[in-house]
Amino acid sequence: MKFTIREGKPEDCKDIERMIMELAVYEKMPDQVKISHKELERDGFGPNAYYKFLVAEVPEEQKSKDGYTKVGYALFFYTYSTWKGRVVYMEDLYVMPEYRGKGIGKALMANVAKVGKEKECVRLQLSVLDWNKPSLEFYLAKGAEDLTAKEGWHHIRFHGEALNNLAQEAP
Amino acid sequence: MFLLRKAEPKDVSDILRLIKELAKFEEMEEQVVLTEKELLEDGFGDHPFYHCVVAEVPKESQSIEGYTVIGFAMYYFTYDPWIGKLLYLEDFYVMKEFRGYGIGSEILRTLSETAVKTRCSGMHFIVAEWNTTSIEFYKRRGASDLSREEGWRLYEIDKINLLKMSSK
Repeated sequence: MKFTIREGKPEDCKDIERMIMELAVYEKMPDQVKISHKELERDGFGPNAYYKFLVAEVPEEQKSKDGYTKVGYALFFYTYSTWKGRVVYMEDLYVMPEYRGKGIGKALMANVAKVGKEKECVRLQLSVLDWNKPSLEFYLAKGAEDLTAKEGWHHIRFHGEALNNLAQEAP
Repeated sequence: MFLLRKAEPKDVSDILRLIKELAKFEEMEEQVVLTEKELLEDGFGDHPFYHCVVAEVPKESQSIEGYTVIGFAMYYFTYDPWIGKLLYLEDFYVMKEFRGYGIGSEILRTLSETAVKTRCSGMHFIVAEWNTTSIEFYKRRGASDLSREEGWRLYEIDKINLLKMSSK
């Protein structure tokens, strides 16, 4: 199957919004998706872009049953390790089910790694749900290590009311 | 008495000192390979990879070894495709002799204020599961443990494997 991997553009955001929702459904948390292509367009481009993304596209002859040619994406940004320096964090990696097994996911991730290498990043980090066996195997095959298991790291979040309360807390 | 302010280029050596102290507490001191030069370039160049606030005390209250910069927090902005901008807290540390005075609380409050002002939907960070003092500090303030609640695990691909992937 022929496909291309390229940098995301503002006009891709509607397709990204669609695929973000498909991935959220797969992760069993669709009700948690609160933003649309509007926020994606505002936040992904310009001098203060908060993320970057790559799109996997197939030619018109190979479009999906619903008529889509944008069939996968990888969304990432740069973070910082006070121990080692620049890190590339891959937030989302997704390929539509009918296009899996053709090397698209691998190619998307390889391109994220390439961008990270160009920016002199010392590692790539990502998060996976503990029950997501196909993804866990995909990443482990590329040399990924589970830092939650190895070093005991847990993801913590302050949001909504807890964040507002914290912001107003008297010193 | 203390003040919190945005870090400046001249603070990089204090920041690195505090980073190493925190790494020592996390029992991973030998893993700090970052240098002052990289901290300077990455935090104060054209495209900062991080933001930093430092806690400073007046000269009369300096530490035993003579330091006035006695705490710091390093953060950056990340993106959640479901809810948008987030503030990610990378490091947060106050020197042992200056704890119990509300400096840590004030740092956290300032950062959460920054998060709210800059339209972030949340503040995220990671904590080591054995670090019960810190976990209690955050839980008391309403934080959730997403690893426990939703099953998220942090994975990492190191430089060697990153290079292997990017050259295919």
